[in-house]
Amino acid sequence: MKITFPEEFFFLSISEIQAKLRAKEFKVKELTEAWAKRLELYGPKYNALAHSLRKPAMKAAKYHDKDFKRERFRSPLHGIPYGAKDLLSYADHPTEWGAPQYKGQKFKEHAKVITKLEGVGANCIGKLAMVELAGGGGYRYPNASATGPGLNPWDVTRWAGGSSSGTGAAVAAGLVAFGLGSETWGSILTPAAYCGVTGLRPTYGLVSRSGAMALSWTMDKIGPMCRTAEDCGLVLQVIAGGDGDDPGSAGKSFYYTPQYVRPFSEMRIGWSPVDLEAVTDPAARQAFQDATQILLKLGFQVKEIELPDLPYRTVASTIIGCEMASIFEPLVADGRIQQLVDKNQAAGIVAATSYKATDYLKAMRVRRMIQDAMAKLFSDVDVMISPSRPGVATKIDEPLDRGAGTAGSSKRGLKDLGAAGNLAGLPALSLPCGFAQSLPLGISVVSRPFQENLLLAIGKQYQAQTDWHKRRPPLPA
Amino acid sequence: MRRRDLASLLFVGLPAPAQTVAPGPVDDLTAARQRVQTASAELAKFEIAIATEPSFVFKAF
Repeated sequence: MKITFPEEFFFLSISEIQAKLRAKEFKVKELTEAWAKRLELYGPKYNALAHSLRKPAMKAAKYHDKDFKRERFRSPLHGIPYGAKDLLSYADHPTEWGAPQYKGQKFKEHAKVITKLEGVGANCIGKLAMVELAGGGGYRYPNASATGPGLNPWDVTRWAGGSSSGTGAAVAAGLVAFGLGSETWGSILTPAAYCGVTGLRPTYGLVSRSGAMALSWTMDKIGPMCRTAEDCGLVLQVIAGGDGDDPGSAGKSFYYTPQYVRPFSEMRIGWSPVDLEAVTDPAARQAFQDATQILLKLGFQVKEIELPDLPYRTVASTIIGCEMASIFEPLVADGRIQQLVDKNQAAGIVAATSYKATDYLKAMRVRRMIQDAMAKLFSDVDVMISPSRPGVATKIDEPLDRGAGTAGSSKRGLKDLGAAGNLAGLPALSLPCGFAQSLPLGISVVSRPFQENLLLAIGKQYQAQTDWHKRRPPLPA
Repeated sequence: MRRRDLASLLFVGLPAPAQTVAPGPVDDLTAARQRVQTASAELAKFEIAIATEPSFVFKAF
């Protein structure tokens, strides 16, 4: 008898799907087929699908079914269908980095994270669309991708966020059970917030980037985008770990054990009212205020803080610019850079080749000051909270280099926490926290390096008290 | 601007508008190069202790 999955099934958490698999309610093959079909059907409607991997996934599903038949359960992710940002290589299948120049590019090996997930039985059903070359050159419009603009499942006239656009949209629309994204500066937290999913940016060096497109060696991170904080923990447990093939690897593992974090009452949470005052949309401001109140009431001691006055954005853009210019130098040299969809991004990469060595070194020296400043701030608090983005997803035809969502304020607050956190390699978790204009919003929790269990424990508690992460967008027409 | 408008501006003590032509939109590459120069200049003027070393082997803080 052919099994049909109800619409709500595609929005279950990893643990819920796993429980049904182990109870033999359906086979991995049936699960994989249903999900791969759904991704192929709806993925293109959001420009979220780069390449379907239905064939290899169905082949793997047969082996997984044999395991389940013998009750050889490999992990909580065994048999679970997921999608990976097209920045991660999948052996012998296209890995195009969202850019026309790399159409048809194939690699011989999987990226390390995909190998690790395969090892525990997770099943990759598709490569998910992304902003071309992860957007390091500074793109002007959301259509800066070979697959078109990433459309938001909550409103297809809005952007899904970038650069992990396809991952954000696919998780939000229930096209995959979870997804992998990457962040250099905002590329996990932004689509997570705009699409209303839970996104985890791990500590720099915790997850191997071997087999991933490099944009900035000292800033790139790979992380999970899921329905819940718990799902992020389950995925991170698998993909984290030392790797000799990644020079940035910290050589550390991660075990998802949120139950062992210190009681919240012994910890301090840092926030700034300036962040909320700066949000221009009244509905968004109210949602952030409500979310902040819930987080502050989890039992923490509360402290108002602000970032010290340092040139976070200039340092981040200089470091990314210099490293990106070196990585994509061949494209600039032979003129292929002009094939990028977004001409502003092409110009940004060309211009970045004119940075001087002293600019890079000065930026890296100031970065050390920023790291010291963040370490000092974290001697006073255990976590910081701030809106992931100051407002809802922008319109797809709206220029991105205009800046929106915040009122100009001379007060610093934590508004540069995105740049500061990425420069210092800090982990962050974006949690869905409400709606404005019928579009989702996200709030971020940031901690010291390698404190992901603390972030996930906070996320789990927050999601036990709210249901924003359970909301789902309408099916596309 | 008509002479009458200019006269009324001067009459109430406001300065006359500049007679220069407004600059046209700069092309993407020129604008991107300007951003690089601005960043470079901002970093150059940022004072930092001579002993501060860059993070050659980068680790989270």
